[in-house]
This record gives sequence, structure tokens and C-alpha cells, in this order.
Amino acid sequence: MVARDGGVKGLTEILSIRDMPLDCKILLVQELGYRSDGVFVLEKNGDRLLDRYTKEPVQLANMAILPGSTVIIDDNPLSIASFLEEYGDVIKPSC
Amino acid sequence: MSSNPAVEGAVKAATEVTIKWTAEKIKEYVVKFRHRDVAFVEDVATIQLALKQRKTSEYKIFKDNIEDGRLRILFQLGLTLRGIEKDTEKCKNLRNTIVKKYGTQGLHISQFVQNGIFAKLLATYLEKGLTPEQMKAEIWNLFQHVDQTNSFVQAGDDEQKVADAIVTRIQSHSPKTYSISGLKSVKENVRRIAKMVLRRIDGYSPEAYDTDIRVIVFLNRIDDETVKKKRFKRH
Repeated sequence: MVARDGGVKGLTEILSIRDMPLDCKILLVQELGYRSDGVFVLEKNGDRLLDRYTKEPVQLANMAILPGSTVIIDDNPLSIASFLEEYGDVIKPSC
Repeated sequence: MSSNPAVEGAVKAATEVTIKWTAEKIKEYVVKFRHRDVAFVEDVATIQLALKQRKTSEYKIFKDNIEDGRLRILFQLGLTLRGIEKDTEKCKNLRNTIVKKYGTQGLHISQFVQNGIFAKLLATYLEKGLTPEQMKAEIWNLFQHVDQTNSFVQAGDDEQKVADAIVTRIQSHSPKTYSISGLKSVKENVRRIAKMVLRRIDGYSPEAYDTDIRVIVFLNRIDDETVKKKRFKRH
């Protein structure tokens, strides 16, 4: 089956935001209920959002926004592996 | 178009760099995200590698036998280390991240997987015709004693000290198998260390696996009566 975006229904498209302009990244995290000071992702109360696995502050330049319950983590291999272990295979690559 | 200044700024910046990202486009993708149709990542290669590894037989056999989440993560990171081992800098960063979170013992578990030692030992378990329950117990036991039964040689290690430590461990625990492994520049060091150890212990025979990038020397316990008597006498 084909979804509206041309991808296969039920699969998650993994989108690179490496070349996304900074202002757009800020807008993206705002749309998801977070904030940013231009470098770090911030909680609603202004605290720096900590990666749930490494406990390091998440930067706009290294973030991964993954489905589940809007999880924003650092995109290092340890955090990605930990996410996949916690949430299972919620990401099924279409590419 | 939104009248929100932040949005307008974003649209402006997006237009200057690329026309792909606009406020509307971002909102459209956020809706897709909420339907789980899209994930946003900085480095696509990292997540693709992780997803690919989770589909390998090596990972699935481990996952089917081990429920411990920490071990599963360290196992996957071992596969990641293997996947990126040609990139020295990336490897170094990941090793540091593993040590920071899981300590040296955690790193050794990942290196155990990285070096393919688990895969090689798995083959021997299959040859033995173990039941699924025995296999599960063997795998669990293997990962509980990684530090007692494996040495990962690094550049700059004192070969005599490493050999001494291995001899002590073998004499204390008499493991069925002890592995000594190393990558790239330390391959020759691994071979020398194995020889030094073998000169000082009885009842073990070497079995080496050598590739362009790594060498593993397994020291396998010989379980015959002559050796057992000899070992008993020595103690």
C-alpha cells in the first residue's frame, strides 16, 4: 500500500535534518512542544533537555527526534541502541 | 503563511538556504511524525546501521536467549563498533561513551562481540548439540564472565603484564576457553602474548583466527586425564 507521501504504509521515513537551517530546527522543536536557545534543546520550563540515556544536554546539531512519545535524544550510537531496546522496532526504515 | 515572527524568520532562513524547509513543510512533517510516518535524525547512517544490526542472526540469537536490556544494548554496540572499526575516530568516541555509561566491563562486553568471539563460540555450542536451555545457560554464563575469560590487547599494553594477568586468571578459574584478541597494529602483540602464556600453562591448546583487521587466539582447555593429573599435581 502506498501512503500519501509516496512511502510504504506502516514504514517510517528516516529524514536527515543535517542540512536543515537552524531557524527551522528551532521551529521544529517548538512544534513538538520544546524550546531552544539556538544551541540546546530546552524543556518547556527552560531547562536543558537531557538525553535520557547519556544524561548529556541535547544539542540541535546532534538531535534525533524519534516516534514513541516524541523522544528527542542525542543521535550517538549508544542512545540510538538504547532507544531501540526500550521502544522496540518502532522505526521500520522505508529507505 | 503564519504571522508568527519565529515562523517567518524560519521561513526566511529556509528560503535563503533551501526551498525545501518552510514553516508549512515543517508543520506537514510534524503531522507525519505524530502518525509515526517520519523520524528526524542528524546522521541517517547511525540509525540505519543500528536497524540493520538488529536484523542479523547474530543479534537475534542473542536477543532470543538473553533478556537483560543492558547486555542487549552492549551487544548491539559491539556490532556497531565492528561496523565502524575502519573509522578510528568514531570508534574511539563510541568506546569512550560506552566506558562513561557502562564502565570498562561494559566496554569489554562490546569488544567481545566486536571481535566476533561470541559468534565463534556460538558455533562450538551448536556443534556440541546443546539443548536450547543449555545454550541459554552457556550464553548467560559467557557474558557474566567476559572479564575472566577474555583479554583485549590495546596499543601500548605491556605484553609481559598482560601475559602475567592471563596466566593468573587461567590458573585461578581453569576456563574451558580463554580468548586473546586485538585489532590492526597489535595483531603481532597478541600472537606474542599467546606464546608467552602457553609456555607457562599446561593443558591448553591454541586456535587462532586471523583476518586483515583482527586476530583472535583461543586457548582451549584439553580435558584429558593426563592433563588433569598434571594440573592437580602442580597445585
